Amino acid sequence: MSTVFKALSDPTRRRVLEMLRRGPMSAGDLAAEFDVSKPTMSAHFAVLREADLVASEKVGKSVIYQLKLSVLEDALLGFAQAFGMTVKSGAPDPTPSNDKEVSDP
Amino acid sequence: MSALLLSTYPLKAATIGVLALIVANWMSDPHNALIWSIALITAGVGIFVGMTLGRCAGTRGKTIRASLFGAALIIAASLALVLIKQLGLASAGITERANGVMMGVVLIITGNYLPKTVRSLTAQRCDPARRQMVERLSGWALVLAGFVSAAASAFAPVTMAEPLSIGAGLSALLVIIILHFWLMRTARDTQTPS
Repeated sequence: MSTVFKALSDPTRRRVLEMLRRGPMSAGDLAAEFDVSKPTMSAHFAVLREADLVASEKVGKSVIYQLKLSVLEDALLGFAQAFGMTVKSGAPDPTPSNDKEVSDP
Repeated sequence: MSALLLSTYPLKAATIGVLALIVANWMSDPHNALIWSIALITAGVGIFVGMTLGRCAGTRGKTIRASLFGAALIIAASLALVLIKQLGLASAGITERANGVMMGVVLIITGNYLPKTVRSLTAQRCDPARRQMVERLSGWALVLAGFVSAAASAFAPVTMAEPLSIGAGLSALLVIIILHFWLMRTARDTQTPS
């Protein structure tokens, strides 16, 4: 359950889940919506996969993500969106939320 | 802990419990020997089939064992409530309320996990976005029906509890049927060449 809270604590990951509520999307389409580097986005996807909140599938050349939320997790996401849940203590999050990484030239 | 739960031991323990409860019910209610003997035979066949399916290796086997364990727990709880009533340890009203709460909890657990069952995108015949929405709404409908059913069984007057529980369950079922008809219809429309 802690992995779920960790995944939902980041606004970028919450927005990814919000976008996936509309239906499955490719990793490229999802990443295009954010001003972040590919490694950072991959790290966000990995956290969501680890928490079992999304499922990924390779279709052709692209990786498609689809939502895998239970009703409780769906309600937690709504709660986190409404109250802006963030992690304030404990181990530091490996993926920064103010994703302004510069890609390698 | 989860490894132990997904092994065959809890399932074996639960099935032994079910058999013991049927025998105990039979002994406390010998007038209905025919019903209990049929229950015993049905449970025996179910256990044989369940044990055969539960031997599957990998994730499929774990899923089957977990589902069978859940089913065995529900049956065992129902049999325990009947036995409690037979032995006069609790009044009929209390056991009926407990049964209603248990059914509500079953609806909540089933509904909660329904949207988590994802299918391969390449294997889906209908629009994956619509399927996701239908499963999400179906899950919410079952969870809400479960809460209403459990709350009605626990707190509503006895005369109101059963109609409220049945009404909540049937409403959820109706919502799920309508959503799935809509999904099937849209799937057929997209498959039909223009």
